[in-house]
Amino acid sequence: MYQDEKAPPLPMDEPEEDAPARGVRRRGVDFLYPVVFLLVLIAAWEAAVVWLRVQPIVLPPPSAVVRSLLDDWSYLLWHAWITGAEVVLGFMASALLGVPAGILVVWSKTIERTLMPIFVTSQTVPKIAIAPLFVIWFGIGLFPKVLVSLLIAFFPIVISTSVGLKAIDQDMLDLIRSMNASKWQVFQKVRIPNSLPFIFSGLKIATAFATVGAVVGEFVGADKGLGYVLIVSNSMLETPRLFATLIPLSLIGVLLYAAVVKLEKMLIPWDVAVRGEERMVSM
Amino acid sequence: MPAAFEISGLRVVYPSRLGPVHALEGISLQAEDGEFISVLGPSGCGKSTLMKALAGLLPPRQGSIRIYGEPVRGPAPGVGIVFQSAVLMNWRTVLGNIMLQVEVQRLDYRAHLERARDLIRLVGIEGFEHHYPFQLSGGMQQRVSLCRALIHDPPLLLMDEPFGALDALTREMMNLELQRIWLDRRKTVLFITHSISEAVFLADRVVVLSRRPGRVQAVAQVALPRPRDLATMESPDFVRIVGELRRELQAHGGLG
Repeated sequence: MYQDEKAPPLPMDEPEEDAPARGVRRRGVDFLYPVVFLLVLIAAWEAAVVWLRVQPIVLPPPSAVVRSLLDDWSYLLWHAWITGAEVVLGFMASALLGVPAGILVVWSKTIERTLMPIFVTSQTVPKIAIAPLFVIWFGIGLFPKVLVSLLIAFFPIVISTSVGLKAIDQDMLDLIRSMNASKWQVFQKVRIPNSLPFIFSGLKIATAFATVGAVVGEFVGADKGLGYVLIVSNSMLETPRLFATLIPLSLIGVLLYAAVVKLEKMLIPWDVAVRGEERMVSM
Repeated sequence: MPAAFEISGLRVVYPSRLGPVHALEGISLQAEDGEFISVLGPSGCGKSTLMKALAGLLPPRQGSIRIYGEPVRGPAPGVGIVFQSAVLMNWRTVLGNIMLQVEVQRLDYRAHLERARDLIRLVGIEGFEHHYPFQLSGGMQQRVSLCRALIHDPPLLLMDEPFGALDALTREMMNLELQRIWLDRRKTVLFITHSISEAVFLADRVVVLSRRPGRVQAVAQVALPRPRDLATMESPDFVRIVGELRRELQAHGGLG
């Protein structure tokens, strides 16, 4: 952990005794803003569908979507587990490969010259074009989905890691060099901890990319998973279920994102973006 | 005892995209052990280059630099450095920042922990050992960076406009503090500054560098008694030395 062990809890962990009213507003009511806004939107949707007599096949009313969700919840949940596993595995693989790749690229100019053009070029190839190839090679199991997910989520992690490792104040580098630090020590003591906020930005973007990757993988060849459910519902014109499927699908993305944010708060509580406002002791 | 540092015939030319930059020319300067030297000069006269050369952070250049008789060839861990900004690591507490040097050089951790606590008391930030840099004011951050520079007990302390980013009142207070610490520890100090009165207040000797390429243009002895206090700044001797240095600088285009 890049935080001193004996350190007292940071201000963000303190109960806000000095400003109870503000604390309540921040913690208790803030989440209501998007919820209320969404409820208003959903009500407008329902009203519009009823008043304009839209065909449910084209646009089902929210009530039909909720009914489908309640009717099919165990079916959807089972497929959600499959997709969830693909997303999480794809994300973790991209993090486990992306961060070291970013470190290697900054560690050695030769590696940067060799790998960076390949990474960038591979990024311009649409993954959806490669996905069918994976079906031919690896079948319709879990692995090809994880692979597509990995391929899409990998790039933002490599880029954010290498940018973070390079974004060091010259004085900081002079300081550590003046201590006769080895190249590894410069990475260990300065570059890597300094890059953590950047890496977390990349990871957050990667959560959404990993979800897209898993669904793309399921689109091109699968017999289970939420992407498969989407394709089937679409071909059977079961539009309410199509909408209902989007709910567990987006939940997977949101939960993964929340997990990354939680990890970020645990690992780098000192970061400006994490701690929020400045709290300063003067003397 | 050899000189604390001995620079002779130092010439530094940087390569840059717009052609070579001639930073320093023919610098020769010696410091006795325990001497406090201020370096004054216009912006871009190579003051910081001089400091980096002493710290062994510059690639090969012409001339020779010795610290306590040892020629400087690469990073010289026998010096402590304080920059204009505190350059603290956000992810380390005050104590963690101070101990960085000890970790990197793999010195005895326990023994230096005691030293760190002692230094923290010396600079007056006890009670903040486990705070993070963002929880401290600019003046306190600079005190931490002073502790970090002193933790391995280097005989030579290099300070590059360390109080330049502080407000005027904090700066005066830090000058008094630095003098107190220097009288306590008796390090050799090379103190780079833009402020004539700060330079004179702190130093035994003030060195004036010329515009680029920086050369030693004048040297003034400051024989004012110590400890100096704020009243010293109103003494006739102080005012006279500051006036002489100002005329010297203005004769060559001012502090710019």
